[in-house]
Amino acid sequence: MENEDGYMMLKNHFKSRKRSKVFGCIGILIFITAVIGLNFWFKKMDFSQKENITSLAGNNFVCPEDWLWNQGKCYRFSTFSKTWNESQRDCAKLQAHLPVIQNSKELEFIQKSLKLGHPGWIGLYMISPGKQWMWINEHLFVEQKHFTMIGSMDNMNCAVITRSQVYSEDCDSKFNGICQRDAV
Amino acid sequence: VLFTKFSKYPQAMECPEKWIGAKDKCFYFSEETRNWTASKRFCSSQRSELAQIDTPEDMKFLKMCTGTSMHWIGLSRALGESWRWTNGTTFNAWFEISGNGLFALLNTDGVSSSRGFIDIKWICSKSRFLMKEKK
Repeated sequence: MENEDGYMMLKNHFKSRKRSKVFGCIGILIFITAVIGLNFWFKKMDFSQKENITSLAGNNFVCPEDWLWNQGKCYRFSTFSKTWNESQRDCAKLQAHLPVIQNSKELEFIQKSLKLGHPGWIGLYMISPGKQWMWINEHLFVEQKHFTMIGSMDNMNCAVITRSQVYSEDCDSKFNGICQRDAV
Repeated sequence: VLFTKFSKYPQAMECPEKWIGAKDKCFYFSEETRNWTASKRFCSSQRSELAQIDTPEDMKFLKMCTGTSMHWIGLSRALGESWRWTNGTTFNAWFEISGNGLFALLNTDGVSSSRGFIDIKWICSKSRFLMKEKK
């Protein structure tokens, strides 16, 4: 009996140890899957965030050769002096257009990229004398403290940019063209 | 031949430092940029004028030196009037000036015109021969 009891006890003991072991294993397994799962989820989050940032910065978009990249747009600075219309036509041939400047960083980039003594046409013109300045995307130009226009407003006004200023010039004058297009 | 050449231009001056001599003129090419009036003022302060271009040789030389950079030269006009050099003489139109502006500028593509406000480089010129400058 004693022997049997002892044996029984031993058997029970073994059983309970087995059970705890199984539970332990399951626990660890759950823990591991949870960790992996969470990790995966975090990674996914991280990835989607990165994706957002890169698409904002436009890092995954590139410019053609000889073009400069800035804020998701490509720029090409011509050294041929032509009228505003001719320059706009030249840009169109390259699936581009004279620059439409949307913020002060863009303005700063273009001015820094210009060489001294190389004023360039931008996509800003006056529909009729003394009226409103307009961008070529048909948005009205709003004068700001870092973006003012110098020069007289005679007939046919088109805007020229230099390293330090933006000027109103006669559209038939000849300056270098600046072409702008989206990075692809 | 040499003798006649020398006797024709007896008082040849050396060009000042930073100026470039070409035939009978000294030229100054600015490194900075200014509007037309300020550029003209600079040349006057150097006892010279905004560049006067008298011969095809002058023109060829200047176009070569300016490259693609735009430079003011000494030609301007009043609205509806003809082009004049800064010393007052009328321009005899021996080269073409494109555009409707009142102030002339030069680069390798030729001479064009502007309203005069833009900040670009400029060229001053003065004669190497004192006699020629006296009127």
